[in-house]
Amino acid sequence: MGPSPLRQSLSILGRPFEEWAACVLVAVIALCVCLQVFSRYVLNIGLVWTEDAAMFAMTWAVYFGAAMAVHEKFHVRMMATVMVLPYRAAWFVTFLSDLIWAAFLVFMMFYGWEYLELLWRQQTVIASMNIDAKWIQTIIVIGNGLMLYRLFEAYWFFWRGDRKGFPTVDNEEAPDL
Amino acid sequence: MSDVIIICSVFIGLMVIGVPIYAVVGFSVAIALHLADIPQTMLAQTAFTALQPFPLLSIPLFVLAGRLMEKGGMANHLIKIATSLVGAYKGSLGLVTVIACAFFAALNGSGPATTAAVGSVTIPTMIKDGYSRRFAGAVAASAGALGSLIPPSNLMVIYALVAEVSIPRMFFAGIIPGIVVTALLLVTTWFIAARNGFGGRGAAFAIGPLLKAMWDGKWAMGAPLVILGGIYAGVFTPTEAAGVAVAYALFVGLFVYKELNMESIVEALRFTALIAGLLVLITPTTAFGQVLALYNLPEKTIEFMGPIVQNKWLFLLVVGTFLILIGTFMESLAQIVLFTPVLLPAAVAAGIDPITFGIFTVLTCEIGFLTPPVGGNLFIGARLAKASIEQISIAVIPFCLAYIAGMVFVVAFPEIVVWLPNLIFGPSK
Repeated sequence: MGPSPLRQSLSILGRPFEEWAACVLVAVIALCVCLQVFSRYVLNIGLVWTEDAAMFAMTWAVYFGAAMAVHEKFHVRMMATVMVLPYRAAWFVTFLSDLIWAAFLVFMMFYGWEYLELLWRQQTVIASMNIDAKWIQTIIVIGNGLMLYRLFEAYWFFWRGDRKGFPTVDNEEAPDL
Repeated sequence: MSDVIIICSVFIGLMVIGVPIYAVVGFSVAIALHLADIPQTMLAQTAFTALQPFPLLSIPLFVLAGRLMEKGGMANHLIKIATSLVGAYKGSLGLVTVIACAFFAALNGSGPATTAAVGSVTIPTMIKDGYSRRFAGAVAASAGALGSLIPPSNLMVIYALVAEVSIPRMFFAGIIPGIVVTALLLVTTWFIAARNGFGGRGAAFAIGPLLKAMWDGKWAMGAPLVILGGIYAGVFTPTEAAGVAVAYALFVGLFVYKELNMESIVEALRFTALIAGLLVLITPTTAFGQVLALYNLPEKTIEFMGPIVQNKWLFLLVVGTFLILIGTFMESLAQIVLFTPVLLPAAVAAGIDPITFGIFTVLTCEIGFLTPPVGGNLFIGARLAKASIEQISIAVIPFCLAYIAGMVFVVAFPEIVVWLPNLIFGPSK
């Protein structure tokens, strides 16, 4: 996968902003967990907020990472059955599955929003950090929206670029843990 | 029953046309919720809460630590130790690869990452020394899969969360099967190398160079002690141990081996973020588990399997074959998350304890790493060896047999698998 001739929108220093955000969030997870260990075993004080902060950073990192994974063509999907088809047919089936994916993202944004509205009627303050939980949960709408945006962008780049291969599938290495 | 058929058809249909598994599971759950008259906001809620379990944080942290250890010079030191440990045998560089992979597996939790870390050094060396590209790629790909069996292991964390078993128990249950499979891989490597006349040159074994390599690599050797020792002593939870591993990797990479710089740290963070993005797959699975329970699918599976559940060996033969087949074209994360909730109750009904079944499942995933069309290690091994996927996937078959022998070992001696965790943490309930 060569460098895209088209620059990604919403980028900072040539990279999509969610990449930087996800990197910072991963660093925050590591920092919070280390701080927790340090404070408990060295300073003998138990910090409560580190665990909450690490978990929230995790949630946001996962969704930003998932948005990254769209333009990196890194999402887990079963392509074995699709790739046996001739190129044009495979392209069309992939397009169809991406449409379904997009529909699901819209669906998640819609119900994510509805869920946030439910939360908005009440206050659930996370005591250790003194912030309202609903702000953190906005990532459901933001994350799915960002994935949808990158999905559209992938097709836009494909259309404007050399139109070779697939907009959202690498067809090569499989991501795994 | 017709509801179940609708949901299953949607699930399989979307899966087959290549919809991302995240959306496949989400859509199937949405339909199930609709059919059962449950508000869809439940899916939105689990989209957030599914990522909240604290142990889940150990995955990005182990990924980050592994990447920092690779870039920070620890992988190279482990390869040096393995080299002086092996000496001049037939296929010695292959044996070095296996041993170095086993060592690196004790530092990080990923199969593909272990192949990349060790293979990027040993594969070119093997090819230069006259080993065939196929063999060089296949050894690194298959030994790299040890990354998921020898603790820490990301797949075990996922399994433990889905199966609701203890992560430390899973980790320690992996040690003896890990050693057994390492031994089997060594025998396989030696046998193939001897038949093809690969290698056999290089310095003979001597205690002096080994001691020197071990002394030079003491910081790399110390990492598993910190990670597993902390969990063993009950000092750290797995997530805390992973956090400490990150700090340790940073310290050693920056101040001892001095091979880390800002660029490699940002690259490691970026790689970790991308792997974290894969975990979006588990966001609809909490709801998925509840839907499975709602429709009694685990019970129906046991009923469907009928007499197979009566016989432990027959059950594991059928389930093992099934999981290996699924693993050939599905990533192991998805495989564990989707099939554990359905198969584990059946395994328990067949008299297999959840920890043993976990090790068994991880072994099937490792064979999945090595089989086309979807095999993480296979692709990395092929790329590093500059050989085709087809060539490597054939060369890897004898090594897959070593993993299958490992599965037979786990099935035959489950008491040996759980012996170590029981010794450390007491008998499980």
